[in-house]
Amino acid sequence: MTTPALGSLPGRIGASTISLRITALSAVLLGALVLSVSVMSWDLLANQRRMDAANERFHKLELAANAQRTFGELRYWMTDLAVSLLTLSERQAAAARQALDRDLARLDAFAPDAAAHIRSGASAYYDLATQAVDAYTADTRVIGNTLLAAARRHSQQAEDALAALVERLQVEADRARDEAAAAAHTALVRSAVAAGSIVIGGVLLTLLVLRSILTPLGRLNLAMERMSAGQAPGPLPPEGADEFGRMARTLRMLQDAQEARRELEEAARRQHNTILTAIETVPDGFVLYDAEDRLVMVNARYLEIFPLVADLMTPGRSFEEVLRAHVERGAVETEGLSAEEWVAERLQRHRAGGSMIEQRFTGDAWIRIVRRKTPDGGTVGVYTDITDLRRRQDELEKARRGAESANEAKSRFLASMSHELRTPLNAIIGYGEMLIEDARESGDERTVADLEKITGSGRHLLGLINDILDLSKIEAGKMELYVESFALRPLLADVESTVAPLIARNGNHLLVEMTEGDDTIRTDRTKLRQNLFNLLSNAAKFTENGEIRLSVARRKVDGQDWLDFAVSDTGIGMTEEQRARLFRAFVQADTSTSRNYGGTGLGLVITQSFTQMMGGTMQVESTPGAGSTFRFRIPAVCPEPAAEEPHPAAHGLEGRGRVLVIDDEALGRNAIAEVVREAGFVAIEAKSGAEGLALARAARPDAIVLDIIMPGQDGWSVLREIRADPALRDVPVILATVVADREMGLAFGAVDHLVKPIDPVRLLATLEAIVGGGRREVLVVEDDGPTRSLFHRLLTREGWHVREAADGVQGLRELEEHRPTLMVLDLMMPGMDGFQLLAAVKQRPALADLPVIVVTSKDLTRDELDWLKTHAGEVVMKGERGRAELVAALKRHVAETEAAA
Amino acid sequence: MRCTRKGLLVLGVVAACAAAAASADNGSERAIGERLAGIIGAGRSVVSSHQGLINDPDIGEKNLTGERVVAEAVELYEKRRGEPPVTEGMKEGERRLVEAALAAMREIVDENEALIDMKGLGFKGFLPATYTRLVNERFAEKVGSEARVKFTAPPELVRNRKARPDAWEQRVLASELGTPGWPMGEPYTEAIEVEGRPAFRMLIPEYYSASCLSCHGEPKGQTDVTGYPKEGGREGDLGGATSITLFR
Repeated sequence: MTTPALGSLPGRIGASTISLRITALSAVLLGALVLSVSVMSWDLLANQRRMDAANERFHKLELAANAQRTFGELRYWMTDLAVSLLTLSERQAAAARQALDRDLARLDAFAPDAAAHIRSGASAYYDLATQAVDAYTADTRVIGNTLLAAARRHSQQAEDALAALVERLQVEADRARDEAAAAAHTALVRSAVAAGSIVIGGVLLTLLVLRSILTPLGRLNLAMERMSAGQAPGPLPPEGADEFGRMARTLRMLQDAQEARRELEEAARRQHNTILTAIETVPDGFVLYDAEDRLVMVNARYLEIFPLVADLMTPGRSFEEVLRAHVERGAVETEGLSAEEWVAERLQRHRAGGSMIEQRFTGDAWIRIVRRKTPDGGTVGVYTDITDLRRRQDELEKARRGAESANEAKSRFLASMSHELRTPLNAIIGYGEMLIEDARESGDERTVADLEKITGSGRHLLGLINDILDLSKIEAGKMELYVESFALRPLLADVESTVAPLIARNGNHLLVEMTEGDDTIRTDRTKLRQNLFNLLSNAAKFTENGEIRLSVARRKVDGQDWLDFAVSDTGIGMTEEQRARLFRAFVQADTSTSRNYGGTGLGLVITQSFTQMMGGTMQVESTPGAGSTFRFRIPAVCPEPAAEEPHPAAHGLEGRGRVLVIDDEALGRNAIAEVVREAGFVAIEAKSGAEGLALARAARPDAIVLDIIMPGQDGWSVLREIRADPALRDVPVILATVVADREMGLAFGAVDHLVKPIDPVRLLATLEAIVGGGRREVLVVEDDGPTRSLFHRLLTREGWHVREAADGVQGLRELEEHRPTLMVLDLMMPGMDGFQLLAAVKQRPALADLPVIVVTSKDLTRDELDWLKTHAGEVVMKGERGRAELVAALKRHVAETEAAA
Repeated sequence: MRCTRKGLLVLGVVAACAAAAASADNGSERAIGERLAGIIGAGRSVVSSHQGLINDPDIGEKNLTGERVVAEAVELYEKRRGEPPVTEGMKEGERRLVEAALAAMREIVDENEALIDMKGLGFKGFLPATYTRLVNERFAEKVGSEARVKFTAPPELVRNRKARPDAWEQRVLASELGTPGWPMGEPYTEAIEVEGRPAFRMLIPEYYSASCLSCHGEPKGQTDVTGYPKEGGREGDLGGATSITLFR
């Protein structure tokens, strides 16, 4: 049905609500009823009035007729009386007279003239008639007749008047009645017409309204039937504000929802199919069990994997049945368990979910079974044939092991190389220097110069070897960063003095400047030192009679402290081209420069690597002929490398772990604890060694941070006790060097990598600083003969009594025999090497606190360093600066020993 | 009436004599009155008793003559009063009057014989009262100057205008005869002027007899045979009165 125009009646009907329609219809009909009734009432009243008027007229007519009748009666009785002379007639006549009077009185009201006329006539008649009667009574007939005749005249007059009146009234009454009748008829017709039209109109309106209600209702009904049958609903009533419009809208929405649902169902079905197809396509076996461990779904691959139980895999099958079938049919290796045990174990694992096992099945097939629990309690199993994978894994494992061993061989080679290469050089350089001293003492200046050439070449060679080893270490990825906190100024001073000869050689002049303020830095001391040394020596090499300036500045960038180091010279400078080639290994800026200026060309590469390792950057500026400036900047706090592989003995260091901090100095302990907590660990603090040990035993921490430098407390004994306790032995102990006194810390905590040969001057200087008075007996444990004799000579000259041991075993014997003041220990020794000896030493109560100075040319790994730190009082690297450090360390340890003694 | 001066004088004398006689003989006047009333009343009764015969439509010749009626009336009078109406010792005047009455009675019946003998007509209308009135009128024609007889009744009972009581009769009926204590049958007499002549008037009450009641009896209001409503009287009630006027 098309929507009728809103202006038209059907349109308006359609637009309004049902209640409105019904109400309107009722209102209209009632209104019509009321109207018609009121009109009819009015007509009725009018008619009534007309009827009343007519009746009035008739009444008047009646009265007149009455009067006429009574007059007739009067005449009759008078006549009767005149004839019969009976008193009855007389009485009747009198009564009639009275009646006539009454009637005439009534006539007076509306026809007074006529009434008067009649009255006069009647009374005259009566009088005359009475007289006639009297005459007849008296037998005087003649008179009587006369009188009667006269009376007759009057009576005639009265009668005529009456008749006329009656006639008139009759006419009027008839007219009034006719009018009333006509009017009534009109009214009736009008009412009938009105009623008819109202009925018709009402019926039409009702039909309209009904139609407006029933038609859309029927349509909606049909639509709903069709929708429930799944078909399209067909034409709906127009959506609008009325009930049907709303219902139509609702139906349409329902239809839309149904369609959407159908689409969703379709999509779901497609998706389901897609998933099923996917599951079937997946190369792994797939099985799904519901929350009651009954099979829901299985794919073809599973059946391929387990052909022996394939017939059982129907939906509804319980998992237990399947397991049992697996065992009974020999599809699986139970690996020693009984069938029941195996089934029970697998069942339990299945129920727990979230497991992954690799099960060997008959025929040497390996199946990886991954089980997961679904959110609604079911279990999903994925069966992957990993036979190939395992095979490959085995191969890979073999290859890895081969690679590892190759790598280890490489490392060992590097380590031994450095040792092998450096050891003879130590001898060359060491002996050379000694000879120089001897020569100087004996005034043989010419020999000195020759000897200096030897030692110089030796140093040069050493430098080259060091660089090459460093580079190969870097390239092998074995270069490690060893971060520690230290003060810059002493380092700068040290560098300055070390490089002084090189500077002086070309007549240059060195300026070292550092900004005021905090000079604490936390980075790899050795590498920084090497960097500075490299740059300064380069500057010295390429500058003649110029100025070399080392400037250090501390800058804050983005909230982080950075240290800028700049080495500028007034040397030959570089061109653009030369600068570009600068950082390529083995290439000096110019092939000519090596000849002229020496050097391996590796220095800068190493420096750059080191800088990058320390988290910094490097840059160079240069003006040919005017000079160059090499800058590098490193963060004041070196970003630590990611936590390395945990020590086999260590566990739980990653993530949360408990760390026991033992330090009897509150500030230091708090500082360490803070560092530990910031790293994500739980820190337990102990104020003393005893407390620390008790806490360690009670709390079983994952690591112990022990501050060795505990004034007033022997940290070594704590360490010894930790090592001695079977419960605590495996707990890694880290020696912390965060102390108030940096110098002391550096001295005791820092591991100085001193590369042989040791500078005798340094050694002497530090030795002189040793407080005398004590016994100066030192045991030197070193397998390399020349090195041993070198030490021997060094130390003897300084007034030390030197005992020697060529290897660890001998050393130990010597120690046990007679405890020296301290021991100088080489690490790389055949048989019992330095580590082992140290360990043995620490285990002996009598020797545990023996100060040990480790002198080594071996580059130590962090682990080794750490280990050494725990076991050794000091680790001093053999090498160029080693001696000075060694002596300084000696001094320190002696001082400590003396203090303890 | 012949009214010459001489006649008048004579009359006067006679009247005076009569009056004297009357006054001297009030009782005789009364007796005259009674006699007159009696005979006429008897005639009335006879007629009344023959009403059935009279009104029979099937009988033509009824043989009810004047002679017969008078004879029966005299017979009845004699039975009632113990003497005939005309006796030996009656005065001339009195005799004349009575005989006039009898004559009137006879004549009236005779004149109406045709009516009475009419066949096919039921009610003849020859009522006792009508007979009486006619007789009285004839009497008056005969001796009207000497005596008059009128059969009247109380006004409410009078049927014919002609029989209406005059003023004197009305008064007497109302205050004397009509009163409950009036002895039954006792006449009222009074000497009074009538038409300017002294007279002796008498009013003798008449009571309903059984035969009267058929027209005058109960129930009251019911139309009687004459078409007149009944009066509702009972036997013995005062039904009328005979009014005698004897001129002195």
